[in-house]
Amino acid sequence: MALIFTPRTDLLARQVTLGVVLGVHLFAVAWYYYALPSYTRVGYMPEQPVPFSHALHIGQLGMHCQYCHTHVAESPHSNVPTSETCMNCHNKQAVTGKIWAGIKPDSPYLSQVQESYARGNPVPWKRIHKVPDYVYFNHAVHVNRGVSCVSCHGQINEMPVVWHAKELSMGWCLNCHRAPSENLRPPSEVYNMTWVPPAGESPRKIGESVKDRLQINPPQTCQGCHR
Amino acid sequence: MNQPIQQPAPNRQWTSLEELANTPEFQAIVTKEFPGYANIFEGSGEAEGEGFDRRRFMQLMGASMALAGIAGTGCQRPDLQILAYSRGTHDQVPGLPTYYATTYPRPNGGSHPVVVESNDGRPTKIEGNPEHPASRGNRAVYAHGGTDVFTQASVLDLYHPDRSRRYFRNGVEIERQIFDDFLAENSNAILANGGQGLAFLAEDFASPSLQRVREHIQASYPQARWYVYEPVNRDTIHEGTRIAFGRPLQPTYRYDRADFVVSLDADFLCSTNETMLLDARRFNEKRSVLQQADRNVATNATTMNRLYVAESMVTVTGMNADHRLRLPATLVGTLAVALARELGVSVPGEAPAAPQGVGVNGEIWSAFIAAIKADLGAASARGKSIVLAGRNQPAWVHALCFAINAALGNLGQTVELREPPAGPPTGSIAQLRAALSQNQVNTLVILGGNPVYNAPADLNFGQALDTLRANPQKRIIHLGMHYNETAEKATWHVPMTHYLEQWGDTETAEGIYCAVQPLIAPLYAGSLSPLELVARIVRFRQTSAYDILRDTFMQRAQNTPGCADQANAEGFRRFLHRGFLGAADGSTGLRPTVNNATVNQNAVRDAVPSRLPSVGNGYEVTFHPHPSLYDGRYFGNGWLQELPEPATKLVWDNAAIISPATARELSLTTNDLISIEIQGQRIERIAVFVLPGHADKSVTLHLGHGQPMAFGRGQLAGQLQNGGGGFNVYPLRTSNGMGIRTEASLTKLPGTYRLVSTQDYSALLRRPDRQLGLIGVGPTEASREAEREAQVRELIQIGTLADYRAGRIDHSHDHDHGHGQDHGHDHGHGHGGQQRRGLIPLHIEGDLSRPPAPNDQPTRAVGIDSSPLHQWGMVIDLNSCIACSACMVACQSENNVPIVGKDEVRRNREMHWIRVDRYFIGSVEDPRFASQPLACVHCERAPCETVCPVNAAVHSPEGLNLQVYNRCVGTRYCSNNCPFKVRRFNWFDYNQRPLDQLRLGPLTEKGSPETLKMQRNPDVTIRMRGVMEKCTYCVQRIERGKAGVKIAASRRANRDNSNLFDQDIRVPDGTITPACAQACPTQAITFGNLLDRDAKVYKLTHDPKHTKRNYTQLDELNIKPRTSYMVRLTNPNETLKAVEDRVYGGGHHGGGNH
Repeated sequence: MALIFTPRTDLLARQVTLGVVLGVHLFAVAWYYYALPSYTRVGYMPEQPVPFSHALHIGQLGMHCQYCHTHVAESPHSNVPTSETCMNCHNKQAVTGKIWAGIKPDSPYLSQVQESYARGNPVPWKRIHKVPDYVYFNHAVHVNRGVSCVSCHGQINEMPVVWHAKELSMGWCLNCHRAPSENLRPPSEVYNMTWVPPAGESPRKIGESVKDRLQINPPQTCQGCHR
Repeated sequence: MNQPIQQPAPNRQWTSLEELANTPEFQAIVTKEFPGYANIFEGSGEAEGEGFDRRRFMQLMGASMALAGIAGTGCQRPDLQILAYSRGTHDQVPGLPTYYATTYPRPNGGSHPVVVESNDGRPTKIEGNPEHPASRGNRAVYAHGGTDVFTQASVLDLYHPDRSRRYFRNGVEIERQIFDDFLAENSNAILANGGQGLAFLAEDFASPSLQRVREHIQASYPQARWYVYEPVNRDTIHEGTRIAFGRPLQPTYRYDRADFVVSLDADFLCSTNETMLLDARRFNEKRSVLQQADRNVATNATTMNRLYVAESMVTVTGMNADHRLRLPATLVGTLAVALARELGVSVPGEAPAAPQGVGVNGEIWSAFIAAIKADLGAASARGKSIVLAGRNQPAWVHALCFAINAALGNLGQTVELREPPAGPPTGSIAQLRAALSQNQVNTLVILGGNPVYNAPADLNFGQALDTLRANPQKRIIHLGMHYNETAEKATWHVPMTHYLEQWGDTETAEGIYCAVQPLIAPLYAGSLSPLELVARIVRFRQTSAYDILRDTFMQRAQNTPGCADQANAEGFRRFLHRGFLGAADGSTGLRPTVNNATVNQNAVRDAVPSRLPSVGNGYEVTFHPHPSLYDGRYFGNGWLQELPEPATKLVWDNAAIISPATARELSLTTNDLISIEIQGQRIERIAVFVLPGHADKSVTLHLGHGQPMAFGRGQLAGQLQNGGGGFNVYPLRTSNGMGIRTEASLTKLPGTYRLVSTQDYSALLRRPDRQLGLIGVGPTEASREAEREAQVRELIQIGTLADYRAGRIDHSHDHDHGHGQDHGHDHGHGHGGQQRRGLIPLHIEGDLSRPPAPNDQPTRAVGIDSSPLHQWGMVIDLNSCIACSACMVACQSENNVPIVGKDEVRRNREMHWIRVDRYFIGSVEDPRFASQPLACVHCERAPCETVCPVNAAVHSPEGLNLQVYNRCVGTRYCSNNCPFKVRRFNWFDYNQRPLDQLRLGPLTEKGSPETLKMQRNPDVTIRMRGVMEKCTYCVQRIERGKAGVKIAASRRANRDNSNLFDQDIRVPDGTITPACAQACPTQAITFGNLLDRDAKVYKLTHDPKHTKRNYTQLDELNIKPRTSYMVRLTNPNETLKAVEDRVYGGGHHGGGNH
């Protein structure tokens, strides 16, 4: 009678098993490297319609974050500035009618902003930082209580074009929520991009004192961010 | 359903006749949460007669899968845009809502002050205006304005996808310019000869600005005519005052001063009463035991008002009555005559005997009248009672009621009379019809409404319009929000703005001048408000509504005592900011009452017919505005279509409602079809609903359904193909029979119609065979029945005031009835003192009740298990709840709860997070009623949390039972375990797929209409198919409240580098109010922090003066809900109660029920 399982079958079975095991591991490794926000989001740097440089405006010129992101301290949403805000400095007399001409009024890079101000259509900025729709993040609670822009958005003051610096995944948020002292700084330094703890002081100790003073107890429950 | 029904035990709570008969359909509901699930294709495509079977499904799926494989792949995340304004708006903060005060202008004195939440410039949620005298609460902490059902739902009307957007001429869409040109060219012709031939048919706009324009018309074009028509109106009331006082007056009732209220077919607690907000709130002030306990009135000195109701239909008011007499509406007049005699009014003839053959027990009749006489006739009740009649009653009954009120000294005390606002005269639609037949009208401007659909049938109004339009020299201009039957017959159709897009003004019933300010520019360019259109046609000196409003305001402020100093720019801004003119306590700004009005007794006596009307041989038919659709203007509003009617719990349909006795007489049962004919007019086809408690020989017809055009096209038409739409009853409604008609003949038709009612969906709560061995194990049948009753009694507790005063109602010492699981935990903690039954003991370090002493350590959060700052809880006072269902619509509006369509509701899949369950109690023919709002009660030991395989149902440290949508995979085990069945599952993508094609799933067009997206609350996730959802205690409001307090406290602390303590970041009581609590007109729902000793909700659950009435449900399951209820109290007249107990069976009023 013919054999159903030849000796070759043994070898096949072993190879298939090994293959499957290796395949699953490979898939897992690939998944945990390529499919998580740490890869898919970090480094995302889309080209913006207007080449606004934070490195220039914040880093070099020293503008304050809240000059443009005006409502970050009161609203859950940190607004991008209106074209009107840009025109405060970059106005073109022909467009705004202001008596003085602003900074680089004829630069071709600014034409879209000036047109937006004149005509009313928005500048189509590309959105970089976005959490899923079912996550409700509140900027105001964070910036008023010692979490700096830098903690989540990276060194914006060194970015000629903004890129997605941190992964902003739930696990990443929870890491801070479980140990807030690591990332807290005195609220007065929240907008200071280049703050470092004074020499000799440990950042964690500073964070602890802020946490105690402001009664910070970040939610670790679903209610905190998901509704 | 013709099974014999056994009379239920006197205290038994039941929800439908099907339950009593234990029909197979009812058993299906009780055994399965979602009946009919077995065949998911059942019922689909039936309307078109085509089937949709498994084979077809496989074909379609196969095709779509093949297509899916072809589709290109792209793993790149698509680029998203973020768009800022080019120039900022100064009072909007992106991410936070802005609130504006405005008013919802409604007819018949129903203008409703509101505050509207606007997100990114879009109005999304409507609340009452807490500062407005018409809606102020009296409880200092929670001065929410309430709202009624229509006001809550009105925001959806703004965004209705089928709203009229364009101008039409003779049915053809045109550019707006063409209409403008037409007006310009023909203006002279239209206004020639002093406006001869110009006629306006308007809804009842109580707008002083429009009055000014009308005065201009009166002065400049005196031949022009203004007619007003409202299908639901107060004509009979005004006629009644004319008889009684010699001139029409407008009565308002001070229920807050009345100890006794006798309602003769007057449904004043329902949203269809235009002044319901005012009336319900005032009624509650005399009803509420809670408010008295707040004022430290001793338990044994507590008082309540007493409500007597005589009516044919089961209405909201009737369900709240202490004593209810059901009788045909035709015979209410007889009752009025009988009462008048007893209360000192001279009426001709003999004392009327009890009516025969209509199911009225003679003893009850006499006892009812005697009780009213004893109560209202007592010297101590002088000036403290109200007798009122409903709008269906003929004018002489109203006149008689005023005479009774006068005899009882109520005029000027509980009955306030006001002159109607002065203005140019108006005509009726009958007069317009006459003018049309005599060819006196050349230009007819119809402002809003749908007279072709709802004009009295004998007028043949549609025909008159056809004749008018056929003449090329004449024209009809229709201004409306929808392209309806009237628009079809008009020459020109102009789209109308919604009140949220309008500048204008209005007046409340008491004469307070209110602002209507827009929250959004008109969505559709060219749409006009009635004020604007009229101003243009008659060449008023201003055509901008804003300018007209401003001038009217200045005039008005000058002429209102106490407000003259506000007739300036600053005063106008304040007017717009607050929404009204005058003092918040109502001391200025109201129209003055008529003092010393005397009733003309002779006129009243003469008005009473010598032969009192009787039902006669046939049946009587009564017309009621529908509690959700009113006169039909809300037909297109999906929320209101799906809102169950309070008594029948019907959705998406109306029915001919009859009593069980009448049904037996005619061999009818629910879902049968009949036709109704009176004197040649007929309703061809209408379904029957048998309602226990309805009067015999009487048929109730609700207005507003069966609109032929279904608003023309689009989304609603699709929804209605899924079933629903109801039956048009206006063909039977004539000028002489707007309220009641008699001599109707009913003919049974072959076939059935599937009506859908939600009345049985709470039956799962009361499964007689519920487990735990508590039920049905006693030694005798009697004891087993008693156990079943005991379990049934848990849900709604009702007692009498007498029992309460005597201290026999006392839940303060209840301890949990859990057997087993919890040894050692709660035993012994339930008695008095600190630990309130139902709450897990909390460990808190530090004392939140006092400010920190200098050496105090800051109180410290103790980790995630339970928050020492906030533990949320809710109390619903059943004594105040009138079951108006405003909470249901408010929740739907706030939380983006979708509608599902009639077919899905039939399968128990309606999505309402909070529902109002209605129970009958006792006998089938003459039951008592009880209602209870029920949402997720946030059990501390939630059965749903333990069974979720993916941990989507979790408990928060603050006591909320959370539902994490993104984790849910749709096992539905949680709703299986929920004893209250308040978890709602998204069986389909109700938000984005057309409701009539749900089963085609991915093959249908995806996407919600753009305008509907605008209504959605951006703070609440929109749930997709496959996800469970439920009440969250409005967690978005909780989080916003907590964040706000933290931000404010942190800013203070950052400024001076000080420390924050727990007290600083705890949310003060009253800051956070869920949508349901905020909408409730009687403030029956209280929400707050159970750890806050100052919080209202703490007092209601811990303070002995309140805990007597505080109980939780289904204690034997040991679930420890955070939402507790307060016992409902009734205040029956002892003598009448004894008679009723004897005739109907004991326990008719509760009592012994604790």
